[in-house]
Amino acid sequence: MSEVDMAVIKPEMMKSYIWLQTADGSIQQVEQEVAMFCPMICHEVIQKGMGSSKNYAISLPQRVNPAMLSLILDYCRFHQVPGRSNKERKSFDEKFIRMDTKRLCELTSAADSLQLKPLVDLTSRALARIIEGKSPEEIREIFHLPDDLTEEEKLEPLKNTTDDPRIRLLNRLYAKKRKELKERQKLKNIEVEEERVDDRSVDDLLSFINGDNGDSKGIKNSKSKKKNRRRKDQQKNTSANEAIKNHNKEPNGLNQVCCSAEVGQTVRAGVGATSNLHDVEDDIFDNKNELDDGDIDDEIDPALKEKIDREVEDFARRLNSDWPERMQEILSFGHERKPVHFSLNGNGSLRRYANSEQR
Amino acid sequence: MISKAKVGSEELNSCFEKLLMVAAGNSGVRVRMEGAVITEWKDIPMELLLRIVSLVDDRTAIVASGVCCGWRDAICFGLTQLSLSWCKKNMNNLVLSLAPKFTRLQTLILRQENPQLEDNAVEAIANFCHDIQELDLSKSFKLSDHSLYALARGCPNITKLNISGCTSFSDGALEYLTNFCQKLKILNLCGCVKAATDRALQAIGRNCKMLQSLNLGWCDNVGDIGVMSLAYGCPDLKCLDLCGCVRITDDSVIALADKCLHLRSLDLYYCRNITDRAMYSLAHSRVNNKPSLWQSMKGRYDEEGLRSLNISQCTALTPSAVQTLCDTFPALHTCSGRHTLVMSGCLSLTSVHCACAVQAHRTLNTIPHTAH
Repeated sequence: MSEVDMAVIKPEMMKSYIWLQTADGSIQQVEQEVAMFCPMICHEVIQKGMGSSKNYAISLPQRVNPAMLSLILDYCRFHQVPGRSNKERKSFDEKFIRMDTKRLCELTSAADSLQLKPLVDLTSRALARIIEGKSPEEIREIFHLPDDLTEEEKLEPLKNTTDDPRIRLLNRLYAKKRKELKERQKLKNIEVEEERVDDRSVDDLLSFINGDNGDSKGIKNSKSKKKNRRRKDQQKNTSANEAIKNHNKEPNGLNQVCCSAEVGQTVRAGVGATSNLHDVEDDIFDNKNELDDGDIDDEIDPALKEKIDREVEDFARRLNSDWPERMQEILSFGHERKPVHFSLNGNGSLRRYANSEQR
Repeated sequence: MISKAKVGSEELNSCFEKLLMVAAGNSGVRVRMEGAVITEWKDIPMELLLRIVSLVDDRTAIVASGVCCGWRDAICFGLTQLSLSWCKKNMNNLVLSLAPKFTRLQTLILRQENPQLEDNAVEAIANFCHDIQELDLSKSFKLSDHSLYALARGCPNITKLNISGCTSFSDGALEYLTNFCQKLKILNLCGCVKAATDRALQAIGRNCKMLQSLNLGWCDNVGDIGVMSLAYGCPDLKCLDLCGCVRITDDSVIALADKCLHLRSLDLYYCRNITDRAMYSLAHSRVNNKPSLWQSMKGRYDEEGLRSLNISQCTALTPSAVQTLCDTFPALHTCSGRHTLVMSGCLSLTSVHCACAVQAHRTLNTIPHTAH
């Protein structure tokens, strides 16, 4: 086929291009030497004679979307140049691999389907570094994997290390409560955000304006204080809104203290307890996830047991209490601590993890 | 929170969908995070996931198998090598939990710093992991013969077994094992005083024809009968460690020299009964068995012969015999770079040198000494 000949022969004057088509139908042309760096494309060109023109574009596997294709071609474009030193290649690789986990996964998948082994190795190693040392929960969060193993299966490797059935029961209880909490929080977050958009009263706008001007800070403080006190009794939701707004819009710490002091004098103890609960949870789960408890003996000591009992009861009481108050507690708690676990959207959590992953 | 309020409407929609699904389903223990969540990684090909898992350490691999159903299935299907030597306390329980999951294991390293492993764990391995080829149970002081019986029944494909330091095993159980595990190539019985007896060695010679490497270090019950049976039964033997086997005499070495033509490494540390007869037999065997050019081209003749020999503390040996040996086997060296002929404690053998050492010595002698 003359078309094939034209594609393979490289006249000095003319640069030859290979036509590639991604799964979404878009066709682009790529310099031949860059595209031929990929074994799969190379195979298609040489053995089947494809890629020489737009009509005969090589259809790439489904796992290669246009964004990934451009990344892969960048990689090929750099590495196919023979004159580069190992050091140059290495530093390019290190910079190249810095991206968020989602894109890294897509890139690994795409490189694998194109059989580009060096890139697969590079991305696999990066992903391996991400997975190392993480707990199953964290891995699930990073890669958005379904949480579909039964509790028994999850506890399986550790079933016999903490033989105490009470501990197992507690672990299951924690897991259940955590999930319920997460679910409810998400529900409430949506509601809160929606309401914020709609229910802004004149007072709110005024305080917002005053807050930005920044001159009458003292007056503003007392005003918002009064407002908070008043509204707390009437509409718990909107007051929480305000609390959030004022809390965030006024940088001075005074209002923060007021706010939190008002919204939950009782919450303070609760927050402390909940954070303790968190730590205890983490301790237990860390010990679990170590898969090999170095320090803890097979029996939990009685002091810790009592603490756990108290926490569980506290937790249960709190969850079963009046919901609006509970929500306030959660919201103020969320503001002070910004918990990593309760992230709303996929992008947010990814960004957070990606930032922490960049070394 | 405020920043999250600027979330796009489609994100909100997707969150809503998720929650509706959750609310519709039983909002109990198991919350399914499907729907709008990217599910690409569930569809990742298994080979790719296994490649990534092969790059992480063993503990992470075990953790990864508990992430979700897809990963669990992929890892349990594909994981072939595992080491649990990092466990300090709970290795036994871990093996009990993991053996039923990782049924495709071929290599399992359970070497312990402090003894944790018990019979029930080895029985679990034998029950579930029939593909095991390489098993390291060294320093498992707590194991008894039950483990060997279980392994015999459950792991017939085993080729590399290390039970050094397992002092409770008896020779009857070892014999039973060799009856079933005839594919053994590498066997380490260092320190297994009760297990490594003549009776067991006879069984090995009968059954394990493919044996290439055997470590009988410090097994002082080993005698000539056992080693001779071994020599007659295992022609492929390449490495034999008789360190501390004090009852061995020249007859063993002569049998080895006659029958095991591929012998590369021999350790006779502390075998006080060895005399020059043994050395000469080794040398003669090589000379006599040097085949025609045709056979050597077919590769059945091991060009180098003995590469490593340890005759430390064999004080009955004389320099002439050992020098003959050194000259016959070009791979035996006494020079500092490649010291493979070890003669520590043999004060009479200091004059023995390999060819390269002699060369160096000669050059040294031609340079006039100015220090005197």
